[in-house]
Amino acid sequence: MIRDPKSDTRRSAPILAALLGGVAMFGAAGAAASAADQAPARVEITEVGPVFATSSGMTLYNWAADAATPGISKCTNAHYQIQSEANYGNFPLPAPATRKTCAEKWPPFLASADAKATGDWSLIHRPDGAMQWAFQGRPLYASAKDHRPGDVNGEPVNVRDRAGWHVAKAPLDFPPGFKLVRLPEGLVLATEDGRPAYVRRGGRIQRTSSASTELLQPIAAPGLGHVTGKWSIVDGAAGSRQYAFDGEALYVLPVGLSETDIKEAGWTSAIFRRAAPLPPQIHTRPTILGHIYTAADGKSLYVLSCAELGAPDALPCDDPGDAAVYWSALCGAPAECSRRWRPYLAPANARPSGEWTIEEVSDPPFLDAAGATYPPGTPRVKAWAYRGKPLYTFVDDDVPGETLGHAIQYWNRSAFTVVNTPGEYRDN
Amino acid sequence: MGTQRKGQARGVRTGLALGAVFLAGGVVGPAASDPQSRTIGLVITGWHFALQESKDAKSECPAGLNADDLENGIAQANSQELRNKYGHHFSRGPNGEMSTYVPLAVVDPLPLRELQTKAGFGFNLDGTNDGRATPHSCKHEKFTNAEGELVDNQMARVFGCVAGWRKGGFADEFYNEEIATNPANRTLIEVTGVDDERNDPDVDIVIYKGLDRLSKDPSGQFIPFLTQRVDTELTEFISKTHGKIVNGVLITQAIPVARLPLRQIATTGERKMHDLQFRIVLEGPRPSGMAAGYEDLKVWWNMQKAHSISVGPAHFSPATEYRQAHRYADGLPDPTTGQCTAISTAYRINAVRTFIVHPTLQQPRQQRVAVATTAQPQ
Repeated sequence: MIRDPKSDTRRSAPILAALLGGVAMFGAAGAAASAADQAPARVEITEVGPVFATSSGMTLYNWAADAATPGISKCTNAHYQIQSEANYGNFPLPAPATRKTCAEKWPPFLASADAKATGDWSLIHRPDGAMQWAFQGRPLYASAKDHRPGDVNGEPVNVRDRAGWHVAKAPLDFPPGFKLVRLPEGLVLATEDGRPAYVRRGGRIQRTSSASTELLQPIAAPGLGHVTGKWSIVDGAAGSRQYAFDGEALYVLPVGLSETDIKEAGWTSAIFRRAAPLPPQIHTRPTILGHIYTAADGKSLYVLSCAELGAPDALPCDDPGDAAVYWSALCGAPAECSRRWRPYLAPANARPSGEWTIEEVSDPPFLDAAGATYPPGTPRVKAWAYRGKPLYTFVDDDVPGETLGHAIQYWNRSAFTVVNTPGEYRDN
Repeated sequence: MGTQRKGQARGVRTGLALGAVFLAGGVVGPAASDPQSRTIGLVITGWHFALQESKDAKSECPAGLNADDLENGIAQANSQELRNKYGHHFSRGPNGEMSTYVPLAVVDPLPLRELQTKAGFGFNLDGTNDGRATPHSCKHEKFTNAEGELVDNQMARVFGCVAGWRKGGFADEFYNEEIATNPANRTLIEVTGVDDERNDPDVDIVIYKGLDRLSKDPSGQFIPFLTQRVDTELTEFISKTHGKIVNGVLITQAIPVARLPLRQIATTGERKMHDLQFRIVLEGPRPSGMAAGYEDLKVWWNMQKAHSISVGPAHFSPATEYRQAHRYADGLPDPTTGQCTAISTAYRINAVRTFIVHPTLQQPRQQRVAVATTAQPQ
């Protein structure tokens, strides 16, 4: 469990004030300063956006299953033995001896005994008597998948991961009608309907009536609008008022047009936070599944995601030490699994970047299909990982762009999937 | 005569003609350089195994239809033990393997019910009348079609007695609904250099992956003569060949290797066919016909994995089908082992006439904005 030493609101106030001040510099402040000063969590700007984090910077998460029971955490230390599935009945869960609990996989964000609720921050009582922080009624948790501050390894990689865990997004102090979308270049300002905002590349716009506005429409601001931080309102063409960010006026394309037309015309997306650079060994390419990440030779890269959705705690089952059947059901004996799914090895001089890390990977992934993955004594290799999940190539992919390993899945539990580049969300 | 050769023969050398002259059922795109010839655009709307099917299946499957994965799993002697050890009915192998992914680890205990008809559909892909082995094919038995021709369609022996892929079966219906609803399934056929839609000895044919949805009218019929854009980004899904039109039937030459987009049972992937040929009756706004060639077994089986979620409702057994497909494979023998790596397959296809548009910089794909409206930050 995460017991945050700074979760005592009396002690955390100065630190939080400083943190939120830093956020405001990026234009993403939380609620009003007086309430924010007493918040038990800080805000971190991660690759997926501003999130709540512990005082040590570890990302916090919400679970969708908690939404139906406000003020109660359904993620406990209960040890489940049985899963059930519509049409097929009840079954014992595999490898019960090594199965963890929900609270072990998702440690609750605990409060000190004398913590007090404030504003959107409330306290809930856990079954063991401990107090847990909740924001807007939703309990907060850390993730055992995260190892370093800023990790967001608990966030799904693919839409097929339906366990319902997501980062706890911190509210954005944006003007009405704006949000963030994630694109390859980073987190980009966007209108509420998802159209990315653009700024003129290489220069500030004071007053614009150029021909380029025939294509890009100024994002209009109200005459008496009030903005803070890096946001401002500038005079646009013909006496109109226009939103600006970091001193640059914002524009948007009409519905139905894409950025393809404008990239060569001196415009670029309005970046809120630039993405970490891709490691040199990670490439991208278009495929039938959209743009995906590939190895340096163009072969598709895959991750294994797993959640025991038939169990009440919908526990992740893709961590080292989880049941091996989530591999063996898809590829058989250990040697055959190792033949089909090759870890994408990282060179000795490889360095992590953003969500890309280098992890020790068991190869073969298991020795006994009825046991657990990563048993002691199995060889380990250093492989590239995305959000903590090791990356693999698939034996049947012969040429760059083939994606024959995609959607190899054990019902609604484990599945190998390609990793789409940001903005390439598809129901694959 | 094909477009370019016709143009050369007439001494006509027009450049790429965007902006195009619209003629019957098509739009002149980059492939057309002869302003006097026409273009026919087609978009595929239906794609079914060409199977010999009686209503009750008794004539072609006298022993009945085949048992599926679940029925075989339950009949398996150690099914309860495996279920309790690995946590699912479909963990049928000694390591808990699903038969979809490791079919040879599983043996179906229930009897196999084989197709028992000599009548069938398809083309004579190997050019023989007896199905003897050739450098490009393995020994096999031929079917006889309604015209008395000897044809190849070994896939019919794999699926002819499988409920899910027969007419009205879950897999067949589900997949064909996905053709309508998912643009990932969009296959376009562009015929250029057409002088006469009834008879033309030489036309050019290009198969494209498209980008757009299909539309139906209130009666449920696909609407012809709408536009369909070509996916110019994924050039690996473009195939070219020549053909002819005989009495209104488009007959193509074989495409040595064709990769086609495929969205099947909720998974996007591809189809890879060797020696792919089409015969399409062009008459009217909704042409229909047949496509046949050798399905590449490796690619085909990797798409079958998509069916792991449908082995129940589709009533088929991957362990049996994998073995049957390799047993009956009759195309592209492996030079080392002699085992054929592809299987002759015929499909009934439906299409509607369409105007095929070749996007340029002025007609961008418009993908990113559409994506962004539904995307959640990853």
